[in-house]
Amino acid sequence: MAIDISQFSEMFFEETEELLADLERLLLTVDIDAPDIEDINAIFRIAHSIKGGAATFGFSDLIEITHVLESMLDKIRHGEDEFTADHQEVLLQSRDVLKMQLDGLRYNTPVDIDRAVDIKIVLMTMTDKQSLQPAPQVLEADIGPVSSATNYAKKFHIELPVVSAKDLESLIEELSLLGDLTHTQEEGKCAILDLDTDEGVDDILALCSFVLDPNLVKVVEKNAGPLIKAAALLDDDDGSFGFFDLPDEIVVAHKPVAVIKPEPAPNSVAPKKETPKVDAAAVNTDATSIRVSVEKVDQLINLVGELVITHAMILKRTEGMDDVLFETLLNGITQLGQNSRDLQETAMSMRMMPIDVVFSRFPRMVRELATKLGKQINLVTQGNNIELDKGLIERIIDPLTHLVRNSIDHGIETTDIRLQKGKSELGRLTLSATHQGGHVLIEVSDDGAGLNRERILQKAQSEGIHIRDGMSDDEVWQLIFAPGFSTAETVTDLSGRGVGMDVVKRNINSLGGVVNIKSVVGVGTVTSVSLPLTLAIMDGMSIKIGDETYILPLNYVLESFQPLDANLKEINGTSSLIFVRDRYLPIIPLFEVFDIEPRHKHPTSGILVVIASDDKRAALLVDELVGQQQIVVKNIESNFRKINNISGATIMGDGSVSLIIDVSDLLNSHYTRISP
Amino acid sequence: MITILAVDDSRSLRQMVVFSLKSAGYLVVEAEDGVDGLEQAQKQVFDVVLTDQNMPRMDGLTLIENLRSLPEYQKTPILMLTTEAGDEMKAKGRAAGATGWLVKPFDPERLIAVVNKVANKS
Repeated sequence: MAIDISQFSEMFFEETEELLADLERLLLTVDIDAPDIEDINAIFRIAHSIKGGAATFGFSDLIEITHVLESMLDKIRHGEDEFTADHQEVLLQSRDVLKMQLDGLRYNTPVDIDRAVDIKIVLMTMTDKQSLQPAPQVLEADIGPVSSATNYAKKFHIELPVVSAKDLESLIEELSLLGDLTHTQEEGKCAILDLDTDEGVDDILALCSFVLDPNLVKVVEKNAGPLIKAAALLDDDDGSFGFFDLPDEIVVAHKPVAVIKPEPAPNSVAPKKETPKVDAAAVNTDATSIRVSVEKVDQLINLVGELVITHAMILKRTEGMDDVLFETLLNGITQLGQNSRDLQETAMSMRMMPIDVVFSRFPRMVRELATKLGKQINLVTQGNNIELDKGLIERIIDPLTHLVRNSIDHGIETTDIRLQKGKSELGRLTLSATHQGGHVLIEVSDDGAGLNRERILQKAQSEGIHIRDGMSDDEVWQLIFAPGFSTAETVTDLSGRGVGMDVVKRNINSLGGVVNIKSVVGVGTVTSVSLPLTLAIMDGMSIKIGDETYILPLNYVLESFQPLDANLKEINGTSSLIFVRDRYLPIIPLFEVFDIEPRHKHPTSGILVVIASDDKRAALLVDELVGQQQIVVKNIESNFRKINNISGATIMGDGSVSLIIDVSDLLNSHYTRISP
Repeated sequence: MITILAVDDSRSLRQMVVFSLKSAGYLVVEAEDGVDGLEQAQKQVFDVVLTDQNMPRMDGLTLIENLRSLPEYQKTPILMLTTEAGDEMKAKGRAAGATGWLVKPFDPERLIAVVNKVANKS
């Protein structure tokens, strides 16, 4: 029976990924001046586990580096070498190389072989080369340990049955080839041979079998107790396994599972765990958590979404039914609604991940950037347990990275400047997450120089960005988010990557989030990002044009009203503007965008909804506001294709499908049309 | 049915061991380190114990010593699954009371063959 071990690869990849993340965390928290031996042991075990798994599952790439790492760490944990900042650095680099190799194996991403070779050489130089043994190979090439020492590893006591003197002589001659042999003859009966050799009992018996029945030979390893007879061994013994005792003497209890009394054996050292465990034979030990693929969770969420919709449909059908006559039915439906909402909430929570997944990336980055720039920065993270949807977590990494980089690069001053200004030389960078209503607020704050109002205004002017007199600080800070804006006079390789704050803002907006800046010169800057808890559900406003219902994401909606004729202005007789709150907004008639026959073609008879995104505003002309509701967002792109001005769809209570309007898309296409 | 306790801190290796042994008709219970293994071994008596050496909280050798101190595990076959198979490790294993060793990496067939051997099953 052949078992395909490739089926375990994915689990090995996941596990290794986690181990590498642990490794990084341990390396960054370890106290270099007084490393905790437990930390060193844990780091060692990580290298050891990856190596072991890689060898078993046949990923020889990963073995090379982990093997040298293991040797290096083994010396440190045995006190033969001291853990230094150099070790920390090279271990971090090794982690990166291993991650690269892992990704290469897992996702076929490119692997820089030179880098792997380089790090291996560095590691080997740092470890005494003499103490390095060749790395183990993956299974196919594995042969048992071969020793070339002159001192033989084993001593055997061999009792031979009565044989002729000639046979005995030839046997002695043969066995001498295996090592040092001493021969003592017991009178009359059998010959006794003592053999010092590196070979196994198998080889001895194999040689004996030329002259006599090996079953009559008794071979005992002297410093090891009785060894197994040849017959008891597996055919292909190569030293990769073995027994200390005869299998015959081993007792296998062929009895039903016996349950030992709860009190532990007197000399047991097992520490007690707080969590009571269920029947051990029935479940796996990871009883507190199981691993489920994201697809399954998404499918569950989708199905629960359908359930909620089905409930809404039933509810709609019961409208107008006699409360008394159908009391139990109606109660049941209410109950069903409650249960399905609870179910939905539970299902959604399965996609949630702690923000720590993102935050934990930063200690390393901050450390590296700070060192590079000659700054001293203390990174504090707060609210690491706050949970966000997995999709959001993945997409918030880049914008947050950018904000953190900005704080380190432009915010926090160098040590000299900080001292001159009477600040502590240690700059402080805080990453925090807190709940705020249905949103999560992530703040990146530093105690650096703060934003320079004059410089931002100057820069904005030179970039042709519209500014006006008497702008408030908040308005000035918003200029940073304008496309093409960057105040860094020298483009460093840290922030000067061609990605401006406008991209950060756009990315955050596309997640349904909002970004804001507060800053005081000389005191510091706080950039806050407010995100919805999930992407799968959102608050929408349903609107009607003709017979069609559309959804506007509520966070883009500012206000709605019926305009007065006096506030309308027409341009060229084609497009019109509406005067709202001291400014003119273009009116976008949605019936034109979606080519629908509306009930109202003129703004004064319809309703205008003001929407805003990226500082662009417009008033949408619609027929009717239907209401506000939470909607389950369904992706259209993955099932159909991208449709202009539409970001997704949802199923309404009556079972009909409504399209969700992509507000940024709509505004962008409108503004590019009117200002070519 | 012969029940086996498989102790290893690596999830993937454990999964492979469990899968292989189950396919060979054994009942397998997993434990993620020595402490967990000892706890499991006290809840029910296993016919064979397989343990990794290098694990957090309690290593394989300590686990074996602890098991051997329990009356139920005096003669139970206990195999060490280890990457080191030098004489030093073997001596330590013997001293702790291990029945035998199996060098990592191993393939599933080898594991099954060795377990079959100690479980007296052909």
